[in-house]
Amino acid sequence: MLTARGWWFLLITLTVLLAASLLPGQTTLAVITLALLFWFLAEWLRFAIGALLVARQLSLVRELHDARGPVDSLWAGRQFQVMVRVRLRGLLRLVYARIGDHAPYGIETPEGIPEWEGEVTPERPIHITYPIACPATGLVRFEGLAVKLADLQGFFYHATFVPDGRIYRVLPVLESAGSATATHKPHNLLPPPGVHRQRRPGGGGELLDLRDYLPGDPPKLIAWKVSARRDRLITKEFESEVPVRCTLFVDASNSVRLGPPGQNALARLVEIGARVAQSAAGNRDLVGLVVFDEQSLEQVRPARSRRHLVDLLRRLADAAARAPAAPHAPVERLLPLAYSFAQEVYPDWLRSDRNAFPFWLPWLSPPPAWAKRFPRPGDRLFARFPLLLPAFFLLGVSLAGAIMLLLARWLSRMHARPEYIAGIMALAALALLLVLIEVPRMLFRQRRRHYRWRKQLSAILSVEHGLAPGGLSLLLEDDFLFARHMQRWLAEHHLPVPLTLYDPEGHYQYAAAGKIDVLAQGLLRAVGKGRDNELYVLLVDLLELEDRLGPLLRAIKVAMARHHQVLVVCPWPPGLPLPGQAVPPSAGFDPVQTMLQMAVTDRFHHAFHRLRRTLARLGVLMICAAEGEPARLIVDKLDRLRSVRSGPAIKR
Amino acid sequence: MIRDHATDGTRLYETICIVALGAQFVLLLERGFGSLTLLPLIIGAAGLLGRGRWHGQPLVLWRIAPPVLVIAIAVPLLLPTVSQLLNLPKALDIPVREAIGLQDLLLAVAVLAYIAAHYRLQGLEATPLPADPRQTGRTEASQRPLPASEMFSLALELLLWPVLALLAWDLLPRWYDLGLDPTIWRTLLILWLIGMGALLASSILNYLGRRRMTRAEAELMLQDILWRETRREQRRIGRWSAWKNKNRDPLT
Repeated sequence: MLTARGWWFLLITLTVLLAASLLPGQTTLAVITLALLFWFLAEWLRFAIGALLVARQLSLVRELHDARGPVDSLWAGRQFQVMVRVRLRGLLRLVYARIGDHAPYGIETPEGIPEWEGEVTPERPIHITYPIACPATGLVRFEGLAVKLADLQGFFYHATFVPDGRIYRVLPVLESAGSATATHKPHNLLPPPGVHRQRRPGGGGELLDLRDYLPGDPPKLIAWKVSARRDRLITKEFESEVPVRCTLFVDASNSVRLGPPGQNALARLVEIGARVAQSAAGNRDLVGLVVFDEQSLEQVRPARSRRHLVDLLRRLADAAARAPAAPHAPVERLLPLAYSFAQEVYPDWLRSDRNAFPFWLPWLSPPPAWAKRFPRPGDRLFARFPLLLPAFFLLGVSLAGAIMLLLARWLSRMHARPEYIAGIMALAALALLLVLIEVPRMLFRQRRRHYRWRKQLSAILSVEHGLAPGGLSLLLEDDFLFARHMQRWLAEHHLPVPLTLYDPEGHYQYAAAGKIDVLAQGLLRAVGKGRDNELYVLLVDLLELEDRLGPLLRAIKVAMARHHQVLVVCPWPPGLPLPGQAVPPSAGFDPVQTMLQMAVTDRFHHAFHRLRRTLARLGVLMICAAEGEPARLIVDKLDRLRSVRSGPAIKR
Repeated sequence: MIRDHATDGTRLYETICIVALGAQFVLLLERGFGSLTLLPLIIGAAGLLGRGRWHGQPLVLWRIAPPVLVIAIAVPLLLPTVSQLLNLPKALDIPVREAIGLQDLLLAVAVLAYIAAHYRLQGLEATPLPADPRQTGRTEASQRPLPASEMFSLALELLLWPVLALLAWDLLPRWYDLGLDPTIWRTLLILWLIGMGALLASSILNYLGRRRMTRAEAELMLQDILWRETRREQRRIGRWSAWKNKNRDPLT
């Protein structure tokens, strides 16, 4: 709590006070330094009351506004205004505070986030307002307010946080009406064999039949020309509207979550799904959604109300916010990110009276290497630190003794004066002592620091995830559990985590093979509950799984046998040339880099083409999500289905 | 945003510093310190004038002026006693005084005024918060307004603490002693009273702070206490659990 300025001032004042009180006749100096000391202690007391008691009374109310007023959800691609009102309850005040909102990851602040500073009183609430823009669909979490307290002199400092974990959905970009309609009008389409038409009278646009007028028929349905010809009233009968049903299967597995939120394959698939849903809703077609991953799926049956569309968009936004989780997450790479986040958002939970770390623990009881799955040489050495340390000291003291002896002999041979010898020996002893102290401190410095961070984070995770009271120790010792809980914690706070694509044994961790079975079951269930001629759009990454598609192909065959249409949209890795494009020459000639790039591109191109061929044999079209406009193509397909189902009218 | 002009608050604190320096100079001169009275004046004036910046950071002279002023005030006051004790050639013929007078009070007020005003001036010119080592470049000036209560509290402090210090110093030697030298006894008593007072206040505040903890914070604290008390057993269990998990398929 005491800053460097405070420490120096206290030290000098106390020293002078001691001198004044020990020496006779120093009344004036004693009164001066006592006055300074009393003033310092009073400032400390006032600050401590503010930091420990008054700061707890801060509360905040947050609202997000657009041009029309407060909103509960955000929309991608639009600007909003964040308004935060901070109040201090009670009677006391804070002499100096600097308050700023903690910006969530995933939003842009074009004007930065302003910080308010000054005296905080109960009578005067604080208002902080700033604009934000949301570039990508998903979820954003506002953590709360970062509050930094100080006294007016700068002697004391305390950082705290007013938590207000609030999550807002960022819904996909709103399409304007007609922006994704079909690009061409189909002509002269004959219905393929086996297609059923709904030959029932209804309110559609196609004429079904003509019949004699019955009392009660509405006048607008009278066919006047035919009635004039036949000299009696004839009524027209129209076909029922043929609703077209479309179900979107959106892949939300680990394989599409790789990359920064908003720029990964999942964001692209969600964007396509949202556009299709909005266009279909505009045409009053029924759209359903299935979001699946390696373990489970969420299904929404096709419908076409406004509320249903909003529900779809919300589910897509929730899916876009899913973070990748690696079975083998590198603890060393997650620790700095997690700890720096904890320092900002959980400063009170890292205080030594609540979350202490004994300084001697990494020296005398470091984590053992035998408990790690893949121990490195550094881990094994660090585990033996308690043995290395005494050995080092013994060696060091012996060496120091030998050096001192040699130095003494050399100085006596040089016939130096005794006081010079004593001085030089004292300096040499001091230097050697410093070396003996500093060298061990430099050993494993980062590991000791990481051990401290890990202990403090384990304590926080244990409380947050309900593992207390024994969870602290389990997380401290078990890398597997700790990595899993830390990923979960970072995902809850919507922070991207650094990941390794391959585990220590060289296996790719993000193929997500389990999703094929889940997708196949979902497709079969949808086919089982489906009506006639539905369109199933599979927005799924299959590039790494071309040899494991058996269950999915069988499900597709079942769907095709029921006269449904299936379309596959495959996301494409960003930065890679599209299928059919060559690798561009690299700017600086680096043959290894170029060869790697060519090999990866070739692999993906071949996988894409093989998949396309496999699906084409079943009559399924596969397109690349990064190529052209997949959403428009899907809407086109829906429109064709509608035309096919309507067909030409049969006149009697 | 960089301020181009001094605000009212800055000017007010500058004025207080200048007046305080002047008062110190006059009071020390009156006591016969001669050329030594220039030392605190030079240090104080240099602290006010040295408000430049080097690579965006305030100059050291500007930052350390208040504690150095305390030393600069102590030097002329200690010199007669030290020279007497060490039998040094008497450069100054200033009698050593034990009695407390109004001059002592005024000098204490002047020194406190300069130090408090100078630190608050630093807080206005930059910020009272410690520098963030992650941020390089110019420290921006504070934008906070100066409330009237701040000046009122400063005036109150300038009156209260020197008077209390005077009373405390006057009262202390009259308490009973334990056969120790009076100066040593007084020193020990001061340290003990200040230390015990700070400890008591700190304990009360900590207790009140703990009463206001949230449930999660209390759980964190209790968990930590349990861990410290049973660390060895928990460590053993944790390490066996880690050994069991290290061969586990991470996908399950």
